[in-house]
Amino acid sequence: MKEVSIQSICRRESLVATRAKITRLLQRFGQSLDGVSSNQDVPQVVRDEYRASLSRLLNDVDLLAKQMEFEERSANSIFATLTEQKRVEAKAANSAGTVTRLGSPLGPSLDYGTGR
Amino acid sequence: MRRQFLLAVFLTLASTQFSFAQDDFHNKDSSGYTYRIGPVLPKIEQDWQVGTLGRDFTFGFNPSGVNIENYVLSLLNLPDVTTALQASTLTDVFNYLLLQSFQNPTQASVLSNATSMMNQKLTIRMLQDVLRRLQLGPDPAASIQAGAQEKCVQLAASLGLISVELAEKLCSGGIGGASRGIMIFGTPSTTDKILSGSKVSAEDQQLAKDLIIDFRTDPLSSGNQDVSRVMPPKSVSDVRQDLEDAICQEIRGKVDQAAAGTRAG
Repeated sequence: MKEVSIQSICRRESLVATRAKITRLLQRFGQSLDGVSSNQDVPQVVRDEYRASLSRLLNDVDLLAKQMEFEERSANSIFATLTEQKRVEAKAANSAGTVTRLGSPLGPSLDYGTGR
Repeated sequence: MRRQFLLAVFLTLASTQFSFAQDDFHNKDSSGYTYRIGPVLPKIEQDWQVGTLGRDFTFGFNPSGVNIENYVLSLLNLPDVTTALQASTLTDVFNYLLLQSFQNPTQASVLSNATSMMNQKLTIRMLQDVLRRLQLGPDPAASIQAGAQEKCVQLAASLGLISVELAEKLCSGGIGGASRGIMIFGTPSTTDKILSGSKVSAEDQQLAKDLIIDFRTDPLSSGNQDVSRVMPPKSVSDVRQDLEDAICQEIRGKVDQAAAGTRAG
């Protein structure tokens, strides 16, 4: 599960980096937009469209964050359920007299993102 | 000849109706459709509004040659998705798609499900892309107007009396370059104009060109300005994915380096 763990870190880090980049872009581009003449260089309607477009970029980042949060929550919930299910199954098997190898794990780890 | 003349007059009158709605600026995107642009673009208030759009809604633009209408409709027409979209929000759709992949998880499928969860982001990215394009697109009224133009062209072309090219010209109000598929070359980029006089770093300039919609303006002989909308080549999701790839590569490199050090030690 090492790969999943690294992937998870990368995703979180990339979101933070993306937000930082977009925020900086919004600030700098907004300043540049303020600096050009509204009469001749860039018509007001176009400036308004630029500003609307800029604000949507941040909305997109928020949407991505929500999506990731949901994915992680779903995965955690599903893996927790499966872990519990395996625990119950193992308990039932043990009480029925099934012998497992001492110390061996019952299967692949279900802990999402923990690296185990 | 007379019928052709009458048809031309009819189409010109029909197109005049569209022109009334055009104040100072005409706007056409990279698909070649012409729109009026208002002071503020319509904002999608809900997470997911595609489900509420009637069949009459016309996706009036087509950046990068992707047929958005077919794509969205193919999604909407899937029976399961149709059910999920009823009174749904975008989050519901995400829930639905993800939970689908986790139905009846067996022990054997746990790992493949974990992988498929990672792959699900592709589907989600596609949905986001559709949303992004819808949000950046013209308002529904303008799209319907574009659809009306299309019908006008089809009507004229189906009668076979005038060429499609001429019909397109007439139906779009005779504005030069309004035919579909014509790319705008040689007109200055407004984004370049904005960035040229500023102290924005090269990296941010590139990011602006990648992510922000561009406008190309052309003065018309009528005194109006012809404004073309040029869709950005990348989405925020693309930028994040690029960053994720770069960060992952760096982390993997460090992990491998550490593992090699441990082995050597």
